[in-house]
Amino acid sequence: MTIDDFIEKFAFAIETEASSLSPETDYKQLPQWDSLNTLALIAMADAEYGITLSGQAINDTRTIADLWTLISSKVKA
Amino acid sequence: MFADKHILVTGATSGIGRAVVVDLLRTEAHLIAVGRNRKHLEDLALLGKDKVTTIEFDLTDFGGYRKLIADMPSLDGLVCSAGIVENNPLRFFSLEKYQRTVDVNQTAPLHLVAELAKANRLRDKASIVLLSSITGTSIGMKGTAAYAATKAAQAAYAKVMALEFAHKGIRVNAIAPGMVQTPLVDGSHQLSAEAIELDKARYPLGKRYAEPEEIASVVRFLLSVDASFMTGQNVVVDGGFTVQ
Repeated sequence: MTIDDFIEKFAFAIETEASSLSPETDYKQLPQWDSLNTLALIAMADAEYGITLSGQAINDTRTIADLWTLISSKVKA
Repeated sequence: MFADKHILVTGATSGIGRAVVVDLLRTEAHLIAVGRNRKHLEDLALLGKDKVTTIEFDLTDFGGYRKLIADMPSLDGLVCSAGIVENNPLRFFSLEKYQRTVDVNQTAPLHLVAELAKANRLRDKASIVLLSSITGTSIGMKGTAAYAATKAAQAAYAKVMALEFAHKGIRVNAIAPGMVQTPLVDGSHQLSAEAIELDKARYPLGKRYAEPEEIASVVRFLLSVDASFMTGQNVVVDGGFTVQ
């Protein structure tokens, strides 16, 4: 489980190319981002990692690395 | 208006269903409150005293319906309010979540009405109210294909049931709320507080979601003789959301 794997899953969830993303990407500034993508990320976290994320917790992240930190901390917990 | 009337409410322990029970307690109706949460049922029993009979029952126990209604009096009213919603977008579609939503929201009300009909437990001139939604009947919402379909089904049921029961004077209507401030919304945690506030701002009437009591009052109207010539309808209660 690496951040590169996560970027692949993130890209699939919001329907963009993983090659256009990096850990530092401020993902809410992506042209295809809208707040309802949060629901896709919640579903991805459930399906891929078996964890429950809240919309508020996602909203509090800025970069893909932040999101990965959030998810990996819950996976370890 | 509801003296000696027996009204069954499903999903009675929270949200709209609980609001319906509390609202009808102000009338002379006798209520049968069906739900899964024992503690909340006990609270309702305390609140309603001898006017409420509570039944702990899982509506997905389809084999248990005959036993559920075996000792019930014939009904003058039925409110099918039990419902769930789960985030289930297509790219991460879960057949298990889909089936759970269909079982509770769509199969349960149809099966219950059918079993009541087979057992002749619906009195002439009874009124049935089904809980639809603007989601599925008027609008879509990402991640809610199953929920939307089950809520559109309620509007369809109302039309078909209205015709099947009309000869007995039994009326069947649905209500289609927009977002309602219920535990279903409060507890979902799926949208951030900011996203919910933005969504509320899209409601012309008050920039807010409906309170459960504002849906319960429409349920009471549809149950009453004041709605005696209404059947097969889907009544939108959405603060003007869908007329924009």
